[in-house]
Amino acid sequence: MPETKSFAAGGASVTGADLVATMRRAIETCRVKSAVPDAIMTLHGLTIRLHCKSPAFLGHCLSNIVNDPAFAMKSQKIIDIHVTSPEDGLLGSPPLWNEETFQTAKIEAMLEKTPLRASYNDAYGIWHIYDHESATGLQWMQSPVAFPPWEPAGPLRNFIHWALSTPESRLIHAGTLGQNGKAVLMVGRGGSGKSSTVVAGIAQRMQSAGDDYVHVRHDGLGTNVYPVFSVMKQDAAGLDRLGLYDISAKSTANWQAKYEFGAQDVGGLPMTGPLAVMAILIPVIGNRDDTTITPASKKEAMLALAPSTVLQMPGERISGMAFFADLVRRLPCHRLTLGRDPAGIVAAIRNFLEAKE
Amino acid sequence: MTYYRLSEPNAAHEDFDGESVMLDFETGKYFSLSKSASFIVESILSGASVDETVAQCAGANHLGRASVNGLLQRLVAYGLIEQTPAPSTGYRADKAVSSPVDEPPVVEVFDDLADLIMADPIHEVDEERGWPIRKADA
Repeated sequence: MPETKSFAAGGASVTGADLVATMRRAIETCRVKSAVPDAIMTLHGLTIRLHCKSPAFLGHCLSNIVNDPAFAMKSQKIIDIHVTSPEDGLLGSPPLWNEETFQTAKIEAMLEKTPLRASYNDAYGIWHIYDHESATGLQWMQSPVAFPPWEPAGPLRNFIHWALSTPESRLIHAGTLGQNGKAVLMVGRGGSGKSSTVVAGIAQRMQSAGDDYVHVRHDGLGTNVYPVFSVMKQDAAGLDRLGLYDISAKSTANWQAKYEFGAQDVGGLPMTGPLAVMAILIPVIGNRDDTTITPASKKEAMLALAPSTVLQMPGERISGMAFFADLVRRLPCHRLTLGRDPAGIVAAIRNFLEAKE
Repeated sequence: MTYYRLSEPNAAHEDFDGESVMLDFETGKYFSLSKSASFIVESILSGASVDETVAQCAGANHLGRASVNGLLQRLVAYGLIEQTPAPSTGYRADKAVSSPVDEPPVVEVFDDLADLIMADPIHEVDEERGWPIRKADA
């Protein structure tokens, strides 16, 4: 478990009774006092105007969020996100939650009928607040560096999730591999082998939109996947299995004892999109040398895909279930039984995609 | 007549080729229903009463009234469905699809992700160390 940052509890407190008013005041103050962004990032369908005075956090955003003006589409959504702490002079200390437990389901139900969304991290005293109406987000921290150690690899994830949650698009928990613009989505909870499969494929020059969280969008008649984050993660044993000894030798492991790196660090192509999604694969660690891809039921795919995404991301859960059910119904679903040889795994996926061309 | 409805907004239900998945957003548990269990749930959620659902299962040895009631009571205990005085949708017996698979109704329960929703914050899982950080653990 990561070390909990300590912070001075000097700010006000908030309860369910005054949460909405507090959120509205904070969002409005940010909108009035900080009009000019410090950085602009362009993802597919989403432009983020980022207001952030924390060099550390800004650096993580600029390094780890895929940012390419070429991703802009005609109906590009534009949102402002304010990442702030009392040192900025924009807002005071974020209020501490003054009830025994921040009951996620209860708070989400309360906010459901409003344009507001929120999540709260009790250990760090951080609020993530988003207002769909003004398309404004607020990451309200106790200090410029008081963010959890998992934030750097996926900064602004909750805001991107909220902003992309429409009937046509969603941020989903999946890995991707592709070639010639066609790709598979690999779904399953952590430890299922999807991330190491993605790293193995990228190291062999396959295309990918990401190994953990990707943006899926129904465009016209097809379903495409787009990159959001550029960072991949593997533990030392996983890197050793792939023969990627340089990564662990040159860098320091993160709080999960995993190494964070980019596609270029393993000789791969940068994260890319759009990739046309041809199928959903459910990785399963096998006990044979060879890798096989065999048909799986829609129910199996739904069980592998939906709970890990719907339960990890705050809010938008009912619409998320409907989106994932629709996605599973649209696509062929297969079980990817992983063999021991990483090159064989990659070859099996390449052959599978070639058969779809 | 006894009717049930989905416990919205805390629960969700999706059907795939006669098999279904349910999810409880409040507890973080998710459920895999066999074909016969899915048939019963689909019938109930389409507005059929318990009696009408039992009638649809006539002839199936494993799907008598006791089985149907047992399944429904289990789903109530999980918080996935709740009794309602009237059907929420207009059920039409002539619209009932197919016949049930004659096997005992089975519900598999998965709680491996429950900490995602039960914990205070939403953040990244550590497979080996579990989810940080419930308030009591902090």
